[in-house]
Amino acid sequence: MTTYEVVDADAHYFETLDHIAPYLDEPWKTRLSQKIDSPQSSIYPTSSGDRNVFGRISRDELSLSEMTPEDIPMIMDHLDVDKTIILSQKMLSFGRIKGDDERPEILANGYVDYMLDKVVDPDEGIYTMIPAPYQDPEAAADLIYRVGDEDGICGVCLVTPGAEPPMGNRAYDVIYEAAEKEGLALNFHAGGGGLDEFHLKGYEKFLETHTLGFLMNNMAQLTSVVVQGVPEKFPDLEIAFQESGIFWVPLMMRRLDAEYLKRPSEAPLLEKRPSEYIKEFYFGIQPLEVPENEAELEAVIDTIGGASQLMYASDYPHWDYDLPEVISERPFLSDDEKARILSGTANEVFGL
Amino acid sequence: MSGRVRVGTVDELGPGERTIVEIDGEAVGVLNVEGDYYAIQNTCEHMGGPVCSGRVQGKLVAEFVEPGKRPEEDFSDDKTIACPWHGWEYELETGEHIGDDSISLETYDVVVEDGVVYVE
Repeated sequence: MTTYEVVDADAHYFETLDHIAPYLDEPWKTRLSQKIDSPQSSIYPTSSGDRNVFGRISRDELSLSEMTPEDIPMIMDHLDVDKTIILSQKMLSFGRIKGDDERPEILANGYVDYMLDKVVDPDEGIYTMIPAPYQDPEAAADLIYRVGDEDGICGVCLVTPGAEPPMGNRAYDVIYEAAEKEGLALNFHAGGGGLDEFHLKGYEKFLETHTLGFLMNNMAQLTSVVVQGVPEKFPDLEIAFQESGIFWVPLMMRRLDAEYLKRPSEAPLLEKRPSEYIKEFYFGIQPLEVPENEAELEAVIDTIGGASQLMYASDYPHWDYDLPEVISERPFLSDDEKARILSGTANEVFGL
Repeated sequence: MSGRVRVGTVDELGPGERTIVEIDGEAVGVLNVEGDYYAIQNTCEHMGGPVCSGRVQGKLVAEFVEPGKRPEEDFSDDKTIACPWHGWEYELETGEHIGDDSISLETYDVVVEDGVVYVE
């Protein structure tokens, strides 16, 4: 019997970053020695990469690898909030799923059933939204019709990164029709998954990709939704955008208006300027930009349509979360305006 | 304002033809579009471009028929004129910008008497 020498030309070693760290010079030696949230990928400068700045940001009150239903009241107490809308973490990366239109449907249905069974409790102020598996709009609509009238389901969430074509396309009409019929608001939510592939190439730090990526994805979908006339097609649909702060909104209002007046025949469903539709949208304030000159923020809020269009959102436990004080401590807001932003808008839009 | 301004004879302003007259110091375009006469401010509300040298065509309209279907687009019988500088587009009949009716150009009545076209 012949024996052979065998060479395996491709196998893999599961190194960890702290294996490598001792062999590196500073600052990488220290960086890679820290506990970071997702070691296999998070050293890369993507928008879904290292969120805790190489160990600088921590959430000692909480395990970031897994939450339990019991964590939610503790988190509400930590933030000092009375009601909370908990959104799926995995859903935020739906943008990475392209041709596979089965996985998002399976995950979204399973997530909703788990949340309704174990976590959601309107009596305790705990709600969730349906993470729409937009890759298969019919499946998303089916899910909305299946659970849309459950207590504790307060909206339909669409993650803004990655959707191709963008979300004003008629392909998504069935989702919007279902949400409108079920009386559920649409909640467009920025995220990291997928954006690095089609917007941003060559950036070197998370700071860069996160600054631009979350913002650009919301800009991309807002533009499509307005220009393609979603608010005209579904006039009873409430539309909200989350997690890009608010300073971007006046920019889009002014830029879209300027383009629209020059090319009105390309948006024939619109009955008024894009900014007039945007003033009917709602915006989560997080991460709120607070300039040294508060008058800048005051002008932005006024441009968007005032406190009635804004809602507090923490984004907890993410690295850049906001406490309610970002609103309650603003000197130019009246008590009524603070109450509206801190709870009134969300209570109304999401029917809490 | 009363009185009228003579534009020219019917023969001088045949279908598809247009001209500029001055009314109270303002340039006004007078157009014959398929036999219908229009008179409209020539100076664009945007940046002062010469609207009346622009393209005339039907107003692009769309109807949302049902979810998932492409909105049905067509040109309506209402005619528009688009400023050649930046595309600001106005209804010839009303002078209103088709994207925002709070913006409008002045329009004037056109009358034809004894083969002569006048702007009132």
